[in-house]
Amino acid sequence: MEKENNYLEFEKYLLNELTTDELSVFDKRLEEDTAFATDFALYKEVNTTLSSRFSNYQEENKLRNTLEDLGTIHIKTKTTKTVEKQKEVKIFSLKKYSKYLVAASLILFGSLLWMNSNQSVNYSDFSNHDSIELVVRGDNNEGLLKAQKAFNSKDFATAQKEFEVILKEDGTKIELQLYLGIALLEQNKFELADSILSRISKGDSVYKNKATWYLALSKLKQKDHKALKNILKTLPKEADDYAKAQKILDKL
Amino acid sequence: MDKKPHQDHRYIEALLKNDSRVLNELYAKYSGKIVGYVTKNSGSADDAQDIIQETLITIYHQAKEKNFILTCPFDAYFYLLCKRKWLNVLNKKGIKGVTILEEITSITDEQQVLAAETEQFEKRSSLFEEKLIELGGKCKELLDIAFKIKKMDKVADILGVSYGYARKKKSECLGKLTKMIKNSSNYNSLTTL
Repeated sequence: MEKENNYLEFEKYLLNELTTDELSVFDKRLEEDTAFATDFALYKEVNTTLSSRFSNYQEENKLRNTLEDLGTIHIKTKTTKTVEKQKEVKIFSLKKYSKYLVAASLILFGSLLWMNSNQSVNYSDFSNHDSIELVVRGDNNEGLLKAQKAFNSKDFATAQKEFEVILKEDGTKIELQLYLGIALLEQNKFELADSILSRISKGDSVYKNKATWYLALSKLKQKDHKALKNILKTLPKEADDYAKAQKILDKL
Repeated sequence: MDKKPHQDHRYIEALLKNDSRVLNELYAKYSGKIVGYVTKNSGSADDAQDIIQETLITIYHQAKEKNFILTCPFDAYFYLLCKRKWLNVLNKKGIKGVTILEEITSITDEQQVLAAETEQFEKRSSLFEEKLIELGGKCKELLDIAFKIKKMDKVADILGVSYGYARKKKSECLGKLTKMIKNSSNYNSLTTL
């Protein structure tokens, strides 16, 4: 029982709810009673750690997205380049045998590179959307949960339906509009997708840049490279997807 | 306690601010070595990417929750963390890590100590999270809400109970969780930070 009382004291202390008298008793106990002090230290540490994890969940996810993008640029792209370099080395080693073969190989290699460079800008390269976390742990919003599940499992038709139901009730949630736009884009419903994404990209919300990026991806999927270029150029440097946009622009 | 941040502490700041420009520099400078290590040690570039990302997330948490200050150069500290994390993955798979020539030869004591602290931090917080899941039931539900919302009067509102009752229940549940943590077999091997 005493321990349970201690826990309540710990909680009150952390909430700054001890009276001056109680506080001086508490502080004295912290100094004199090692077991009490150790228990309190752990109680406080667990409270701080887990509170921080829960309340910074979304911030952590945003950081994860940035790191994922940077990993793709610096690690995955480099690995692909290494493979290409290895191909190059193989071709050049043929030089020993015949200059004609070299010429033929270079032509072949060149055309492969040319084909690669055109083929490498594909919608599918960028369509691995991060999992969305609309429902915060502990929330009990069935519609939102269904939409999130459908979206994350790439069932975009269901996701579209669920987002539409929620947005009919409250059309102000721009984040949901964005995901609806992506769900439409995934189903090749370009006209509607473009109109939603374009509206968000012209607004002032925090989803503005994300919407611009997806509007560009929509043009990429539609193989409208001119529109794609123009839209990508409007992405500001601070946009999460700026680096990816530059990569596409370089390849175009 | 008066720690002087090293100039590389800006990478830690960048993690806290999600500053993609500085983080881009971090990847450009340091990811190559880690990829080299992992790929020479039974791993792929994807594995290296995961190891780097998870290590950076741990450092982010440590900075957020413990005001971690980097007092030494980032390179060896980061390399050590990633390397050990990868060796742990290999151990779990039953593969022995191969000793390769270290690319970084001068690892200072300070870098070793900071890396060890970050590892301890990660182990402790993983244990806390594991035990919270194990706690389960009503207590976990209540703590989930309390951790997320923090303000006890709002927690009481959501639960439809009085403020005093919510506070008491939270303290009991968190107390129970701390007991489970203390009684776990690996708790004693984790030093307090």
